[in-house]
Amino acid sequence: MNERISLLRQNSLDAVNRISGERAGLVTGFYRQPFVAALPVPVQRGMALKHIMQHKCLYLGQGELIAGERGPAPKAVPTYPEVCVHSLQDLDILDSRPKVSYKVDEETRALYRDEVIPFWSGRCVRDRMFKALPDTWKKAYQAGIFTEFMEQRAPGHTVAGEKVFGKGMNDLMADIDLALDKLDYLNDMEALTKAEELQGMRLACEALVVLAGRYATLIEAQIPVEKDPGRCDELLEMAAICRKVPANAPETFHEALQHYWFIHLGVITELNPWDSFNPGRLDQHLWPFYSREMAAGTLTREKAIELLQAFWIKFNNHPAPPKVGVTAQESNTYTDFCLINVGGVKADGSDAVNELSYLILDVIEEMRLLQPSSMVQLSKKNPDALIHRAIRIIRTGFGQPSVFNTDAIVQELMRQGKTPEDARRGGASGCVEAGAFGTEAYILTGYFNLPKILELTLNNGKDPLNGKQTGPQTGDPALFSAYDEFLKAFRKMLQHFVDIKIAGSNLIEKIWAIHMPVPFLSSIIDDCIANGRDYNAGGARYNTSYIQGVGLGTMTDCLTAIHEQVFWRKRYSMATLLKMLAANFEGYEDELAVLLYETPKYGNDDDLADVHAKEVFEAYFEAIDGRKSPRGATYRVEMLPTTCHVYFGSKIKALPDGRLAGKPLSEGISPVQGADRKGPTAVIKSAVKFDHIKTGGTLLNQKFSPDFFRDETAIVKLGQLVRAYFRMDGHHIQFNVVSADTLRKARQHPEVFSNLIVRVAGYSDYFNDLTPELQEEIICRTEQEQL
Amino acid sequence: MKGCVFDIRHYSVHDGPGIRTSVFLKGCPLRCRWCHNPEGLEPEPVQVCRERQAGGKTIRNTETIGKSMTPDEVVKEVLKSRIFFEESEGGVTFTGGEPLMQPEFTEACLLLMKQEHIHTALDTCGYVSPDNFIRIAARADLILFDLKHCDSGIHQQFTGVPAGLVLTNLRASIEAGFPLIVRIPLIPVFNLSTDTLISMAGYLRETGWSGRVNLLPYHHIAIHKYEKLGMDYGMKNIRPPSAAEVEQAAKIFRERGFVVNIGG
Repeated sequence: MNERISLLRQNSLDAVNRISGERAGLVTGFYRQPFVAALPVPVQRGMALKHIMQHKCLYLGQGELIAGERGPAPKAVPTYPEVCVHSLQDLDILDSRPKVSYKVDEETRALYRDEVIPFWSGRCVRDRMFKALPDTWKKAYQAGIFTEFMEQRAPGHTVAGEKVFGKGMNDLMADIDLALDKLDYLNDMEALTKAEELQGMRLACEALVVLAGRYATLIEAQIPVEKDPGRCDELLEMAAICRKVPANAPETFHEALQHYWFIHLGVITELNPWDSFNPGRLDQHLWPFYSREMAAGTLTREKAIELLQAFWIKFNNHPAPPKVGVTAQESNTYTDFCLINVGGVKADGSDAVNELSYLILDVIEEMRLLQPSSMVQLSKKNPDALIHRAIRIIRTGFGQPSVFNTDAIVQELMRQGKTPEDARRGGASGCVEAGAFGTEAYILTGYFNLPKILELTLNNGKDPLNGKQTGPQTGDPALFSAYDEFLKAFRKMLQHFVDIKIAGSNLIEKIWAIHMPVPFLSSIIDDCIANGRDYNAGGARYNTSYIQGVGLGTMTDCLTAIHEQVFWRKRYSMATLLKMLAANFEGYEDELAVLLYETPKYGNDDDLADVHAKEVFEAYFEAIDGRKSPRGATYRVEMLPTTCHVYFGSKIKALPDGRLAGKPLSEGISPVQGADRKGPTAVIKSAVKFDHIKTGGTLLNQKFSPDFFRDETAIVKLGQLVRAYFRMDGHHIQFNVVSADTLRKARQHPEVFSNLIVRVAGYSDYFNDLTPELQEEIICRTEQEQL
Repeated sequence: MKGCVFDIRHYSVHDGPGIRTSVFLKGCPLRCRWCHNPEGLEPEPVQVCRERQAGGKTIRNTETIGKSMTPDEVVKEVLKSRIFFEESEGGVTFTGGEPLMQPEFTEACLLLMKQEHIHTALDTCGYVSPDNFIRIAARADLILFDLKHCDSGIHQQFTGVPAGLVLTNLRASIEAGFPLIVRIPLIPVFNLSTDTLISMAGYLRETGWSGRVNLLPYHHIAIHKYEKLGMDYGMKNIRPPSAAEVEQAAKIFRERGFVVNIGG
């Protein structure tokens, strides 16, 4: 990278994560105006965004090529009090907690104390939610049976489609005006609601034009005082670009990147959606601009790389909005999960890999940043060169890019009812979540603790953590005479809590739809304008709600242990097993050794265990898939944890697989840490014994020793391993290339290893930023080495 | 018929082409001082003490290394990796120990694998009866022939047996036109000297053969196995060859017309 990029990158890395009160102050000031309450809610939201964009502090860093920050400076993170108003105690925790902290200054604290908290208490979405949610939901939530994504952050999981790069705000406003004109007040009983929504969208589009105009003015003002003539030319060009986009559609490579960036800022300033926003298929979206300019000679490869690198740094400047409480525990990271997609297929199904795909991979390797995250979509139609290039980056050991099976994603999306073209325009976002980019609101509603359901079943509905009857009495397991009876009880318990979760999600969804529409996001996602309906209210072409299952490996091994040792071999009675669990295996070490080492385990291509993986998955799938939500979405399942397997584990005592009380669960669909002893082919074979096509995403982690890569054939042979996994419909695989020894040293000497990045589950993070529990969990994962 | 197998490892990527499954057969006529699989030396199963952690307590029990299996059982286990063989043009490698110490069993396995259209490789030290060798080697798709030294005296000193039979079988393989990779472990104080390597290269040229030579640099990762087995490790003070020494060795063979790989 050149000196400019190197400097910008270092500035981004050095910037301290802190809370900026700016947005909270502006949004509070706006809502306090007496006229606001009389406006329709979508209009309030559109105007609020415009108000922020008119008044927010602008930032232009020395040497920057892409303009625009969400906060007043890099890593100055705004808050969203209309979603979740932080208490002063929350601010103290954010400021002082040892991991993933955000500095809070006195001024922000005072602003919160005097203005923000008094205004938003009882009014923000979170307060409305907790007021409306039934006790059954709250009890289950507190017991750690599930989490709730929308308690501190807005619905999201949205990715830009082609439209974002093809239309300017003026075009969108023309579309909005057309939709307004077409409203039929005679026959359409929703016409007024639609009109209000569309008016909100129009205001939001205007907000973006205002922001870009202010940036143009700021840049123009710097030109007369800039001494470097080269920089003067750059500033002139940047100002012209900001005058043009996002009001108008971009025409050049540079314009396209700046255009997207303004839109990105629009989405993440409007609200704080999970997974920020995402340009999605970047090599596809930028290809027309790149190829046109390269042919015309107006762009060089070097310039394109520099611009992409500047673009990369922009993402790194934007940590996730602050999370507290359970939300912090389920997703304990600064990463905001923007996942750049490279490769895959075009809408017509043909190979989409182009020159830019490889150029972007070069940028990923050289930038080595946590954000944006990156992935490679690998279709059977893509050349091996793509996966080989990706593995060469993976080998450098920072967990990126992850690898996705395009052909599986397309099948998954089509099973859910997308057209082949919309499915092929899709990919994965967040950690591993499949979506139709630009046309779908696929909203993650929270993680679901499968092993906790098992624990409740083993205790006839009582939670051994506090002795309270938390679930229904599904029967005293000591009286069950056959494994099937136990499984039936488990399914009953599962359905009970899935119903509670879905009922809660339905309620929460409605609160968002009524009180917190997102007119800007709606204007860029099809078909919200045409439907005159908000993204949060089902306006998108496709609407999906996910509940993400956690602990498949742990669950499988528990059911295997119960089936094998209690019902089949009758080595221990159920009563004895329950005693062992209650004692956390103290005094039962020999029995624990049998459960750990002499009981089949998931991840070894052993049907005695793997049959239960299928059983768990099917039970979970049947409890959820196909249920409907108020906005017209369909509930589906995914199998991924982020960092929730650590939190969920802390809510469970000892389990029949030999896991001790409080320890993390298995992550994603990976085997229990250390339980897979037969190498990666066996793991893969186990992992495909349930049908990934029925999910919206599964997450498989593999840890390889750096030694594995000592000769070049390893690149090819790892590529073949991935191809085989994908041939069996595996959804996703990601690799950590770091030795346990290095990780142990890093834990002892964090100062020496401050740059060590590892793959967690669906994202990479600095090892030093992980909690001690998560550090230990990653160290314990099986290391595949082949000698 | 049953054989004694001490491990079946999937995703083996350094023992022949593609992704392979390695079947480790027990029993070896050699006693190489650097042996990486000492648990495979004796033809009979061996008992070792195994320590495992359970809830902060160390649980000790005995583990048997070596399992009696039928050829069908071996094939069933190997075929779990079929899809990986197909993706990578890989297959199964019979190794050990010395697979030809169990000639009938190895032959039966090779035949069954052929029926399943799986590529087979035979990793052999060559110190076996020439009749058995030729008959069984002819059934494999690839021979990985381990050549350690051409000087019979030194060979005997470090491996416990003279080189004669090894060299006879190597020549026979070349004459028979078997698909062959010669694998040479690079062992300091044994064969890493320039003179020794030149003489080995010269010997190979003289047999009229000029195919692939894989050089396998010595490493001491197996040391913990010796501790577990209660065996003496005779190579404790020997350091692995440096990258420069490995490159120098590769150069010697490359200059004499061989296709050289490091590892594999």
